[in-house]
Parts: sequence; structure tokens; C-alpha cells
Amino acid sequence: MNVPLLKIEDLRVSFAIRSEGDMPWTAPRSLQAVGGVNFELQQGETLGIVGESGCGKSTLARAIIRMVPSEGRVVWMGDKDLLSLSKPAMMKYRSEIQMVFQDPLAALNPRMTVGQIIAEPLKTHHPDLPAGEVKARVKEMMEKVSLLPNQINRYPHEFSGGQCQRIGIARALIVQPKLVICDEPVSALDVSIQAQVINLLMKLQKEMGLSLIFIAHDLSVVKHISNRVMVLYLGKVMEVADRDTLYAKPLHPYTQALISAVPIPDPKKERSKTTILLEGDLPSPMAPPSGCVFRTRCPKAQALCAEVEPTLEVKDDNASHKIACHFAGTFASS
Amino acid sequence: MALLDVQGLSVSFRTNDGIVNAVNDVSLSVEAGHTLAIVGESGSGKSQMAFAMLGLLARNGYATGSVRFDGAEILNAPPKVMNTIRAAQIAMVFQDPMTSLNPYMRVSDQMAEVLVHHKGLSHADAVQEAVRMLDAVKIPEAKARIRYHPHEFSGGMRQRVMIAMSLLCKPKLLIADEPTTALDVTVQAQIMSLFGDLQKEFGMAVILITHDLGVVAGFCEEVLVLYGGQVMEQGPTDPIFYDPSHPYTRGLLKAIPRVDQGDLELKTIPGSPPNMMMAPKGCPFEPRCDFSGEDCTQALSPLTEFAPGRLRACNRMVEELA
Repeated sequence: MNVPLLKIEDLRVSFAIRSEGDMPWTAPRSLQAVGGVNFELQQGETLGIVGESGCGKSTLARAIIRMVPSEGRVVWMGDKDLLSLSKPAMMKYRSEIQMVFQDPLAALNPRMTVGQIIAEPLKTHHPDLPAGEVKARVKEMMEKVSLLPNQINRYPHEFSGGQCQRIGIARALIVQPKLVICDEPVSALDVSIQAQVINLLMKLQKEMGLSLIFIAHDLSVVKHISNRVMVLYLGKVMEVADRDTLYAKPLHPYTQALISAVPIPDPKKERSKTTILLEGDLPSPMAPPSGCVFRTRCPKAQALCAEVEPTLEVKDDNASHKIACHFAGTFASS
Repeated sequence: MALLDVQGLSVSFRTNDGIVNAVNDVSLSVEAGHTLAIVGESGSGKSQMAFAMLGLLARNGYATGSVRFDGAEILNAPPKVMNTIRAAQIAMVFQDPMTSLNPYMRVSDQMAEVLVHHKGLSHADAVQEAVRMLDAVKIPEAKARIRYHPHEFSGGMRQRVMIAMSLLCKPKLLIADEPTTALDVTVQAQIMSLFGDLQKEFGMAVILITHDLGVVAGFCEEVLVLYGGQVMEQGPTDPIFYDPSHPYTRGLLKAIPRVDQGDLELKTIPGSPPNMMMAPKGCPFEPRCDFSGEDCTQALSPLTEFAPGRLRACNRMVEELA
């Protein structure tokens, strides 16, 4: 088997939380946002990460590029652990991993022109590139993402949301990264614009041979773009499988509930389908449930679930399909 | 007689750059106990339409046309009249429950206020009634939780509080403006199933304003598709989904990825929605339409009935849209 582009081993992120009324000397409480995540990403592959708000999917992405401190190992191309590198040594890898953010307008500096925004990563990583060459590459990149190169001197506020997201994508791709992490790249966009950006990302991925980590809460979008999908809940991986298996035959009760809750734009199907309604809300990550983190909302929960935390393991003959549940099984058979 | 009958509703805003027409000549009617969806992208005028009906437009906005509720004209009615209708007869649920609840007040006080004002109940009775309503929207331990402030609830719970509050006076019509957009799918499913139950229980009519066609498919009987302040297509839900008659509706349905289908290529609609500050003279969808011609830049045909109960506004015939 080839060396994976990225191998995440037992990645953990904790935040120290001080609550109101704490004395300066009281030790802050710790909130575990990501609790021991493992996965591999192959070259050219798209991994979708889904989960509800607060499940740690954005924190996970940020931990990979060291925007938040974390523990564990992030192995790049089989040899370098990115988390153990010094800041200057990490610089070399920063151009390999780029990120596209959710709010397209907030992610762009309003005082910089589009040309300056897209050129900035290039100037940072290749400071000795002549100005003419930078400009040529920026224009070429703008054409790739279907922006008119003559708009190079405009400011972000002159563009619509979808165009701003194209600028964000151009900025991420100009240094020719191997991996692009997209954190909810289309959730702020209108329906008719979403499709444009999704198609653009898929086209560029093919052209440039990119690997993508695609984070979203919209399961239909993730299904469309991903090769493999990972389901997170309260910082833990519930289920991971290739796309078709996960959507056709989910084995974790949370994945089943999540998929059944997605509305289908087809009146007859939508009215006749069974939705597994979960009770209540996501528990506070400050005080996660004992054992399985999902047990408080799980329709299948039993006494065992409160005591023993299930490990992520293969449950049927499909070796790439891993589930963290004591009672994994199709919904009908329960 | 329809419960709500809107005829030729237009909404405009006076701005420094001139008049902006946000909604143009919309007509609709909702029978008691029925559900209507108003579908559109951001800036299509769907929220402003609802605001206009309830007299909640911003100060620089004005509405023309006619909005008859239960037979009485309520468009541009004086505040005194509107105050007896809002909440009591027509209630509204907003998208963001955090910004529409008062953060300084306990939920009990905010909810009781409604009943004290409209029904003349005493504060204590009103709180009791409010607890019953929180029970009805399935907030656990409602009796204790009603003493909380809004920030102590999660997003889904806050939206339940909003819904409970809107139902206090048993309104005949509920307008829900993107009620689940800020929520996760599992919570969205909870809230939509709750809406369905409550609608049956209280027999109220619901206008659901949303951009999510999936939610519409499951919940609404009639759909009105709005684009650039103009109605593109209007009619019963099933034919709009299975046999859309307008290029915009067709494009929209092909542009959404679906969880129940495999690898279909997403067909994109090129371009972006119109800037209403510079609204086009003809059809607002003309610059993005595959079937547009010279005539579309000049004028848009009025909304006409092309099949029983189905209306469309397009210069092309349905047969021409191959």
C-alpha cells in the first residue's frame, strides 16, 4: 500500500476553560474538543467530515495545521510529524496544506485588493519571485477559478458571496498545495451558488491532483464530493467508511439518525420516509457522558454503554468500515 | 373565504440611491389549516413580504396592495389595530431565536407578557399557561426551565421557546421565517415534526419561509417560488417538484445535491442572484436563464394559470423548455 499523504494518530485537543466567578488561582477546567481521532488520507482522496455543531470538526481541522495546540501525531507523507516540528521547520509544510474557510467575506482582508490577497501566500512562501511572475500567476489562478483577471484591483466587498469563496479558493491553491482543508466552504452560500463552488472544487481537485478534507454539516453535500466519510460526535469518531457504504448501510445509530434526518427534495419520498428522531441536544462537552458519548440520545443504549467506551473497529466483512458502537447493526434489525 | 388573501402586494424601500422594489405584485391565499411555502434565495424578498403583511417593515419601507385576514384589510393598518392581530391572530417565528428573545428577561416573563397583554390574564395564570405550552413543545422540566434566561437554552431549545411563545394565543396563522436554518439536521427534524403535530393539534395555517426545498417537500401543500422579488412559479407542491414549469425552479432542483441519489452531476445555474439596488427591467432571472431571449430583458409576462391551480411567469411556453 502507498504511503498515506496524511496519517493522524490519536489527535487530542483540549481547551482550558475558566468559568465566571473562578478565582485567579483556581485551576481551569478542561474541555476536550477532539478526543483521540485516528485516520489516514491518501493522495487525491476526499475525506468528508460530518457532525453537528460543537462536535469538534472545525477544531480537528485547525489542529492539523497547528492553529490550535494539540497532542498526538500528524504524520505527513509517512515520515514527518507536523506537531513536533519547530515553527520555521513547519513553514515548509504550510504551503503544502492550505485551508478554505466558511464565511467567504470574513476570511478576506477588506483593505487588500483581490490581487494582493491571492498573491500573499505566494509572496510568503516564494519571497524571491519577481513581481511580474507573481502577477502572471495570480491572473492565471483567477482564470482557473472563473474570476475575470481584469478584476484584479477590486476589493472583496465588490464581489458576491460565491465570488468571494472563489477568491478564497484561489488564495489556497496558488502555492500548489497537496492538501486543502475546506471548513464548511459552501454553507454560507445560496443554493444556486453552492453547486457552482462544489463543481469548481471537484474540477480543480482533478486538475491539480489535490487531496481534500471537506468539513460540512450538510450530509448531501458531503455525499456528493467525498470518497470516504467520517462521522464525529462530541470529539469522537462514531463511524468511518467509504461514501457508498456509509450512506447505503450505516451501522452506527447516530449515523442512521443523521442520514434519516436529511430532508429530501422529493415530496413523496420525504413524506413516506422514516425519520429517526433523536431526543434532546448535544450534551455539554464540559461534562461528556461516561462510556459511549452518544448514549444519552441513543435509541439503542443499554447499561453497558454507560460503562465501557466502544472502540472504533471493523464489524462486518468490509475492512474499511469502522464503527464505534457496542450494538452496531442496521436499524431494522435492532 | 380564504383565511389570508393577499392581492398585488408590493414592497419598496426608499434609500439614498433611490427606490428599491423588493417585492413586486405578489398574490397568494392561504386557507385555514393549510400550509404554504415561500421559497427563495437571499434577497428574493421572501422575508420582507412577511414583514409587510404584519406591518413590521423598516421605517424606509412601504407596502402597497391588499392583505385581507379573515375578511378584514390589515395592510398598513394603524399600530393599534395591528397590535390586536399580531401574536393573537397571526404569530411569527424568526430565524435566529437568540436575537429575537430578550436576553435580559426570564423566559417566564417574556411568555407571560404575551398573555397578559392579549388575554388579560394575571401574571401567575399566564406563567402557568406558558408552562403548559412549553410542555406542548416538549421542553423537559418546563416548570423549572421557564425560570431560565434565553442564554441558558441550547439553539434547538430556544427555537422551541420561540414556537411555544408564538402559539400562546392559539393564532390562526403562523408565519415561520427560516425556523430551522440555524439548527443542526437532527434538531431540524425534531422541530419540523413538532410543527406538524402542533399544526394538526391547533388547526392553524402555516406559511413557511425557507430556502430548503427538502423541508418544503415534507411539510407544505402549496409552494410559491420567489426570485428577485417576483413570483416565478406558484402551485401545489407535488407538480412543482416532479414537473417544474419554470427554468429557475428546474435549475434549482438540479443544483441541489441529494442524499438519496448517487453520482449525478450537479447542474449549476451560472451567475448570481440580482442586486435589487439595480433590479433588471424585464425578468429578474433573464441573465442566468438558458432560454432567455431579447424580449426577456424588456418585460416579463404576468403570472398566468397554465394548468389547474398552477401559475407561472415566463416568456417561454412550458413546451419550449426542452
